[in-house]
Amino acid sequence: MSAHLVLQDIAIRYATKTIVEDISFALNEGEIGCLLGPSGCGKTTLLRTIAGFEHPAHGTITLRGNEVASPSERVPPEKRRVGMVFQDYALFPHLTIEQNIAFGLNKQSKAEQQQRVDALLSLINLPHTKKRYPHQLSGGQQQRIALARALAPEPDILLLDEPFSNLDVELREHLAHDVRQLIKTEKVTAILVTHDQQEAFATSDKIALLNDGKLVQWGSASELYDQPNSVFSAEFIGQGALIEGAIKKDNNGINNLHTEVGNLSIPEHIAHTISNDSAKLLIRPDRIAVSNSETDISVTLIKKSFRGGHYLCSLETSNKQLLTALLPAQNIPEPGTQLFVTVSLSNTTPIIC
Amino acid sequence: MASPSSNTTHLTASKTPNILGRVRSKFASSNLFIIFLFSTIALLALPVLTVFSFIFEPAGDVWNHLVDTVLSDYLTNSLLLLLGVAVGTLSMGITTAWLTSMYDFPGRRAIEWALLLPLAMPAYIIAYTYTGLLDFAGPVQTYLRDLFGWQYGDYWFPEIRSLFGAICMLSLVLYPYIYLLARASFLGQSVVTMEAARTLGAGPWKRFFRVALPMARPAIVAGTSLALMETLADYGTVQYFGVSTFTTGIFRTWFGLGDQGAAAQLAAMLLGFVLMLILLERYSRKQAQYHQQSSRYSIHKRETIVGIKGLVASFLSVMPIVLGFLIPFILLAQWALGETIDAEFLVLAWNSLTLAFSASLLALTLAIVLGYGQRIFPTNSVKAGVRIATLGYAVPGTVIAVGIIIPLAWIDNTIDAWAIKTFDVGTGLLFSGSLFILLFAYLVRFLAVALGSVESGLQAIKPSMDDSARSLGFKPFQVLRKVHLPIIRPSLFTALLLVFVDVLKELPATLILRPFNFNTLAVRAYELASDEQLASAAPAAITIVLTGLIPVILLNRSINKSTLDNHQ
Repeated sequence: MSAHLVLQDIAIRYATKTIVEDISFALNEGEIGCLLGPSGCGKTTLLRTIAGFEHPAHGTITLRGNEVASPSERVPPEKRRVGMVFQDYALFPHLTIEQNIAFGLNKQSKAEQQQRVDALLSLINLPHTKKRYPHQLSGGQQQRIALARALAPEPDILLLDEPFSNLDVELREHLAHDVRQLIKTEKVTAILVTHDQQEAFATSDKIALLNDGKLVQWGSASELYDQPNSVFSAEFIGQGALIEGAIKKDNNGINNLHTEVGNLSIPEHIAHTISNDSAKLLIRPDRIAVSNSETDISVTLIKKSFRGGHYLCSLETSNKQLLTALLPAQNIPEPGTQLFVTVSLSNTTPIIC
Repeated sequence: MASPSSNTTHLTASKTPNILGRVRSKFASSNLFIIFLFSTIALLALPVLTVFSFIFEPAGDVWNHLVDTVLSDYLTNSLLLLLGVAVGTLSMGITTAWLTSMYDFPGRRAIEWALLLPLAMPAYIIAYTYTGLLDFAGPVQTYLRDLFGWQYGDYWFPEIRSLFGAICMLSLVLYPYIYLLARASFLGQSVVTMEAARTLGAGPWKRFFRVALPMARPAIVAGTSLALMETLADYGTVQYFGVSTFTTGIFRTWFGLGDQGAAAQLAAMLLGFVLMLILLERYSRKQAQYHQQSSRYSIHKRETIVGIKGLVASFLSVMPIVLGFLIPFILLAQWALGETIDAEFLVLAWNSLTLAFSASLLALTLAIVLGYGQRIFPTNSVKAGVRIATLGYAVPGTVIAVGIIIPLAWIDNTIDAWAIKTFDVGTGLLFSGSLFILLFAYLVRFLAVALGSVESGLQAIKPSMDDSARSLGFKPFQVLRKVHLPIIRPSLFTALLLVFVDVLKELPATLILRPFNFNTLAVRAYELASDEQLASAAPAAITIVLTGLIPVILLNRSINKSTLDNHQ
């Protein structure tokens, strides 16, 4: 399967200010990608560059094998065959829902347009809104119409700019799932921008984690969660605590990381980046369990907050190292008490800094 | 002092045990305020309602005569004028609004604000300036004759004093209404909406005709109805150009044929047209709410156009300024410089100044009363009353004049008759021909302008501010004095200024209602121009134009500020 969308070494600059730099990734046909990052990391600018509203100062964008943006080539948005769902939906207020969805379908006959509109409306479960105007619809409904409008001309790629940010929290999770289903049904390649990792996890196959204009990590949700490649990845995604460790070479020349909660060997593929003798290890809250054996790691419970069924606990080791643990609600003592815990280090990758 | 807690709607919502006692003690004063509010409203609505009542008056001889002879002329001319001005203002207004809001071209920034300058130019003044420029003895035709050796009758030259000329003059000074509203709409349209159209494959023409224009339609319709209201209200231009419309017809019927009833019936017909425009404008504004989109997430970026295209854009958008302001202004300045300022001019200026200042102070006071009244008694009847009281903004000065003279003459005559019967001495005409009715007319016509500023100021103050001041122990009118008025001082100043300038420019009502031998700058400029003494009219005219520039500058500043706010 050849890559459907390829970004190669993209840099975007406004005047002298660099917004993003060194961005390269490739998305396969039918995959849903996600640009994830804190606000101001350049993710929306990157999406707008793929759409054609911004132009890269450096690098190339290839869509379905055609170069759409490069220093020498600049295909305008209206010729790019992208479908875009905007943050505030940007439905045309003067057109009915039906007319909104049919807006991009001018190359087909009226009957074909009608058919496509009806098909999409029933797909998004809003066939009764056909003759209404956008302002008569709720936010969630408008969002789905915006999606249908973008999908109607069967774009080569669907771009979604923070599509859930204007919705209620409860609605978001529900819709994120629906949107993924819809995109998969339509078999369209899509890229979504969000600052919310839950949204990213719920919708995407691949995630590009951006920070400060740089691509920090590219991978699937579980890769990002389990194997963060940097302190930023570790801290941005999920909860957990970073603990310090010392690198020591063993007799076989293999690098080992020694930490208070256990030791593990540093895999070959990252060993070459070692520059000094310390590294960090991310411990997820679910990796920590209470044990009854006094030979295990001894910690002090600093504070606990109830999460329904579980307590999220702050633990301190004897070396003043802080850990976060999600522990079953039964038998959690009061803060100040000493506990013994075990930490599972399987599928955990050290972070070299 | 009035208290909203005594208002029945508030009463039911209140649950304080001793509320009834408090209400009883304040009931009287609050009722007094309500009575005052409604009598003010009734007084202001009197002229329009008077004229309106003539719709049901049986037709007299003069009216039948009018119907047989000139009414169809009035109707055709007025309709053609409306149509022509609509086409003229729409083409100029939309073109300039679109170019300046979407593109960057040489001189765009300066052009953007200069496009408002013709607002300072009253139509009757631009009309007589162009007559001076383009008629047989004017510089243009003289130059052409000298150049080609033509004689009188040798050549054809468009007659400026015609229906077409009137359409051009009115379009040149009225297009800013459409420019302003259309531009605000284009700029306010979410950039994202246009981007959405692009991602759906729409090129520039489709984006303009299928997205931007329909979205701006309510704003454009509102702007057009404002321009057309002004067109219907115009008296000076059409009279000067000899085009018979409703306004000149009312004048002629009243003073020439001496039939007040028939004049009032004409006025009632004109009012009918105006009412349609008002309804159209209100409806459009309501529609516009739905068409407004937030543009929170993207900054409006203009596309730069250079080369020939850029020059064409500059030329297209600079022409309305040149024709609608620069040429007449330069001509007026030239004429004015050749004149000497004499005592007569100073008297005129003083008359205009005092009249305009008193009218604006009165209007401001009433605007505060109505604006704050609406705030503390937000009932439907108060709101509807205020709307009716401020209908005058759309009603032509001639119609207001007719609507004022008729009832006041009746009052004058009644008082006089009563005095004669009781004291054997007549009072004469107390109101008619006094400055009082002139001020009254200005209030009816321009109160809406003042109220608009006051209301927008008050709206910016959160209701919680009132509540907190009340809870700290202040009565409603103390709250007004201590909280609202200091906060909205800039709006109050704007209200004062706008009414001032409008009164200064006002022609037809002043012409009809002024006391005998009392002249203002506007009236004198118009009279001199009608007597073909164009140059002598210039000092008065240019004074009016220069004063008219002040609100244009203010408007510009507030527009710039709001665009800056939008862009953070």
